[in-house]
Amino acid sequence: MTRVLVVWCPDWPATAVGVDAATAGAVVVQGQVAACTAAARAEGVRRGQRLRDAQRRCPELVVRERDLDAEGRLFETVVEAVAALTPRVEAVRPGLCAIPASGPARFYGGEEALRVLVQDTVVEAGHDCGSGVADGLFAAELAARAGQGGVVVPEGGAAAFLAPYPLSVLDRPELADLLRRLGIKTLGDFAALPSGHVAGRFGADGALAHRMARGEEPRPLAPVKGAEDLTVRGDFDPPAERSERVVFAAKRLAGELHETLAAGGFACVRLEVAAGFADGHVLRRLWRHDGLSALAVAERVRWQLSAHQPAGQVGDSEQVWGGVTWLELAPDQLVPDEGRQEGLWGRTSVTDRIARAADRVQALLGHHGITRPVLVGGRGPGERVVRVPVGDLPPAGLPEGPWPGRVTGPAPAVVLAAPPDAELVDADGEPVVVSARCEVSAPPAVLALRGRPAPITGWTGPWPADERWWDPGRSRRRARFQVTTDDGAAYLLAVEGGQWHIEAVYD
Amino acid sequence: MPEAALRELETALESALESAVRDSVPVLPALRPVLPGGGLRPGSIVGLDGPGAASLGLALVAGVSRHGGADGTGGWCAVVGVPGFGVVAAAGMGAALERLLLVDDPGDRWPDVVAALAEAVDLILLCPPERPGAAAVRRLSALARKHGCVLTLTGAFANDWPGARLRLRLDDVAWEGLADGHGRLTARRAEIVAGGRDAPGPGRRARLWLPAADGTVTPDETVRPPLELVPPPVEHRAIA
Repeated sequence: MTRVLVVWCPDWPATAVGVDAATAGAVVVQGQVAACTAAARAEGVRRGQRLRDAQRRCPELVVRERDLDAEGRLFETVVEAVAALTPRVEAVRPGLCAIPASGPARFYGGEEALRVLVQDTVVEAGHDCGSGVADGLFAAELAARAGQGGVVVPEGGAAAFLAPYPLSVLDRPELADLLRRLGIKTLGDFAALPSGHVAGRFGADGALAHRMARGEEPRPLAPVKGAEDLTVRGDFDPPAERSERVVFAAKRLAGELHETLAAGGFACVRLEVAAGFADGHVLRRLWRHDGLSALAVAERVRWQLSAHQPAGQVGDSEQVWGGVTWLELAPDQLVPDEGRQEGLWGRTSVTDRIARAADRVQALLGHHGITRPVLVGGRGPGERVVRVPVGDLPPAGLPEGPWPGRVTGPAPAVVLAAPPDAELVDADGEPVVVSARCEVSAPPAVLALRGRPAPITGWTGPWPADERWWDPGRSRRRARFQVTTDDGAAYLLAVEGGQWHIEAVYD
Repeated sequence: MPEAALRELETALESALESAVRDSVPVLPALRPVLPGGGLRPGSIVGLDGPGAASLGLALVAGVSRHGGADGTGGWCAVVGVPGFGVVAAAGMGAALERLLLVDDPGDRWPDVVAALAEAVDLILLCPPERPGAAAVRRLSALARKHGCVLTLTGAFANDWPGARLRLRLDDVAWEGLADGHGRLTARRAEIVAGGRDAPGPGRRARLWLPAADGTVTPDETVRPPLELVPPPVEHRAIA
């Protein structure tokens, strides 16, 4: 029989929606009172009452809808407070959590001392609570509710402690009703029945209730282990001057990390590699993991170190700047390891051959050196493409259209990353200006690009694009034109703040 | 039976044509008439120059991306040193963007980048950021030949690459759809001209819409109607 300590926060649904115990308040679900505060209870409000009846008894009743999410969320603070004392906490349900009491009781000097300490800790965290210690979860919960803030039921005394309680505490209304009609009114009466007969008459659930009434456990406590820190770390003393040594250690560390992950049945999506240098600064970088081997992890460590070599030391590439004193590999985003499944049909996965080539390019140019384009929504031709580094997932949650004022028709063949300035003049040699009302001052006649004028044979516009006008830092207001020149070229021009740019070339 | 003989001949021709196409790196159907063998030779160097070089690069990438690969379901392409590569336009021509790798700024490591990619992809569109040295040219040409990767050169130094057996350019280009103050660019007529050792003589020419109104590349049929397959005439059997 395990000793269990239960922390019970009274009227948790009411606490969670922000009604404190001194105000008469009730939490309702479908017109029935699901929970109420002590003040409301004093006025005669009860669980299961219809709201109408409750308001008749207590006209000033504060009524809230039940919010299960808030209950769970807020209870996390209680669980955290208890977890500070002992790490193995089972949150039974919002408002009730349990810890195995025997170990902590030895540590904190007795069960009563532990009970008071836990209670004080939770009260300090800002929530009223009772705590009780008993054999088994069921008895401990009742012990937490008993007396002023809970009691300690001595070992083996659970049956005697439970005996006077009514059958309603079993939370089995049908069974309780039937037993009452059979003349059994307390848990003690129920516990006195022979267990074989109870199982034969009331089935498995009845037998379970019978075990609970006799102070035996229906099931053992199952606390979750706190999230373990799976980070692996290697120290270098003296500092590793050459990257070879760091890479060698990285291979060993990666092997350790993979073993730990495999033992827990985890895989990690990304891996953070952090290297600390002798001069105190730390180099951190996230790498996509996706089932890398230990060797591949070591390779990435080498790239990371080589990428941060100071300029001008290319020839001395094995020398690591300042010397590495420690190296840490931390798995990021743990997921259950379900094995890797390559796309079957319709989905192109990066093949090994391509991945190897991309890795080599990334080793040369850095992670962002080689990208895959992803089409997204946008107005201009340059805004419609996002370049995603190979190995990263494409960004999610990109805005959908519509895009009023977007450039239609065939897309330009050259989208200039840094639009060069251009000059657009009319027949009189005056610069063409677009007014705030999108009126063109005069038909453009000559486009001068890098000082070379070209007569315009056709033009159209303006197509205004007023973007993010609500955000002064990022708002852009411009008008686009398409022009063709007499040498057969076609351009997409944009005018912004009176300055013309070549945004794209229809080459 | 003449009909059976014709059918035999047809299958023989088709298989011969297919094998020729299979041995080459495929291009968009509209570009096939100008290319000897209906495709690009694996491991060859292709030079693009003049106006329209960017569109030709897009079209070649789209062709390999759509029809290339070992089983013809789509090949991988890499674009090196062309930050202005019109991704949207390439997608419009039929390129599968999930099989496209972009290296926008290879810097002075471009020969190493191309060497790494040549082993993996079917076509590289390269704009050398500097005049390519003789050693780089020799090394990359040999690597491309070894792995069957087509090296397509564009930009200012495209003509400085010795050993380009095929040069493509556009001639006689005219945009449609734009008037004086209204309309929008809809399509471009152009004549594609293939020259070089692989296309002997005065060059092969074909009129194209590059791009057509829907963004694809199609033959310009207003000039020369293409040959059509005529359905076989219905046999009228005499009623006995």
